[in-house]
Amino acid sequence: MPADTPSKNGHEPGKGLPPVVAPSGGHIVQLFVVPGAIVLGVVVVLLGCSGMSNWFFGYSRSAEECLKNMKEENPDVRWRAANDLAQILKRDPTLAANPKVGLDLAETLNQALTDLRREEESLSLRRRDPQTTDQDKTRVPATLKAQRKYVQFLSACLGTMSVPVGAPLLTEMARKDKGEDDKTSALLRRHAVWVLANLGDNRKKFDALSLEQREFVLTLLDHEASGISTRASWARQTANVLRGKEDFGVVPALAECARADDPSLREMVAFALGFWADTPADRQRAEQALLKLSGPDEQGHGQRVLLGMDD
Amino acid sequence: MRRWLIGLCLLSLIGGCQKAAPTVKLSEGRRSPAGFEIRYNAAVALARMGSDHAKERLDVLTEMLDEEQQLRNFRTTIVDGKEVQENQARPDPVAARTAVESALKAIVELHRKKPALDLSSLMPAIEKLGASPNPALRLEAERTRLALAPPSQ
Repeated sequence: MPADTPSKNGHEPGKGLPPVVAPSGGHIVQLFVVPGAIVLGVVVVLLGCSGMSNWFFGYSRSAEECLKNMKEENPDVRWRAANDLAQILKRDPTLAANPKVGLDLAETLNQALTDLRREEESLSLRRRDPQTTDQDKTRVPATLKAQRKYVQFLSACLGTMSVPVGAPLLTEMARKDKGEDDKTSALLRRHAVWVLANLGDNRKKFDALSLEQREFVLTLLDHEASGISTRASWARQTANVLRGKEDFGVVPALAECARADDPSLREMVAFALGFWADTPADRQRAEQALLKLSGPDEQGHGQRVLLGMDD
Repeated sequence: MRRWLIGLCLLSLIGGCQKAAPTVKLSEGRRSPAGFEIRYNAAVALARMGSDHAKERLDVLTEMLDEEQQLRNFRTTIVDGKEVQENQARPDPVAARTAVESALKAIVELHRKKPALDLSSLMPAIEKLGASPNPALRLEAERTRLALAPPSQ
């Protein structure tokens, strides 16, 4: 089109300027649709690639990878893997109802607790050593902190399961009131009670499964229950609890924690007790403990173990 | 230099346009006696369980429904991302409103499980919450009021 031709809208173009023309359909396609299609294509290719969708949505690892990384030597890698697994379990009900995953986690937690105890003992020995300076006595080593964190994330994973295979171990953790390091003991006890509350609530998800799914879980538990190992005893107990033949003894353990000296622990217990009162006897015990905790005599007395921001 | 100055002016303009963090003004009064977090959790648990003993703790639930009291009770020692001394702590509106909200939800649950239980003593506090400056609390209070209202004939 020559430059001096009047435009369609009647305006004269300025000297040396191209005429103003309304964009055609082809222009629109060139400007928006083609680049849009290219971007969409790239995104689809990226999401299609294995693992990229996880990366895109923020999950960097699969459950298998997390379980594998939890066996790494580096404590930081371990607790990060446990943290990732807790997130995956929250979003995957099938995995959360898999007793094998739960039992693997419980075994790993059991081992982690043993390692933590070893770390605590070495800290205690160092504190008793006359050559240790006062500053070093108060310092908690980074390895112990990382191990503690690992235990916390592992137990949180167990709390997200809908099959309560972790309840016996968590109950044991909640009952343990003495340890080499006061801070670690207080922190883990509170944490165990909090996880028990979550686990108690998540049991509803098991009840929401279909009859076939529940039967399948019970069959898996029966299969795991053969033998005399700790793992087998957890599986046996869980199967019995799910069939209504036994209970984990969570309420008596929480009632014991309700009498603890640590007011933060009592606060947590007051929250957790309502989730486990299944049998009439447990309900009565829970109500009595709650009545006491909600009464005017509860004045937050006792020794509060203060935790820092990094705890 | 001129670009820097323009940038600075723009930044201060943007800064000036930002809403200041809302400050919570409290009426005179005392914090609840120590251990209120424990008493509150336990009273809420009793109510949620639909326990007969919940009626013995309606006073605790009434206290929980007092929004101003909860703003006095729940204080945060993290101010502008830094940990401060207890005497410099500020009201924690999120924690305070969470406490009120959990009491409201527990009351609804108690009424659902024990419809015969007389909860009329809680009504003035619930109605007062209908005028709360917090819209979420107002809504929750209205829901609770409707849930407790006797069915129309």
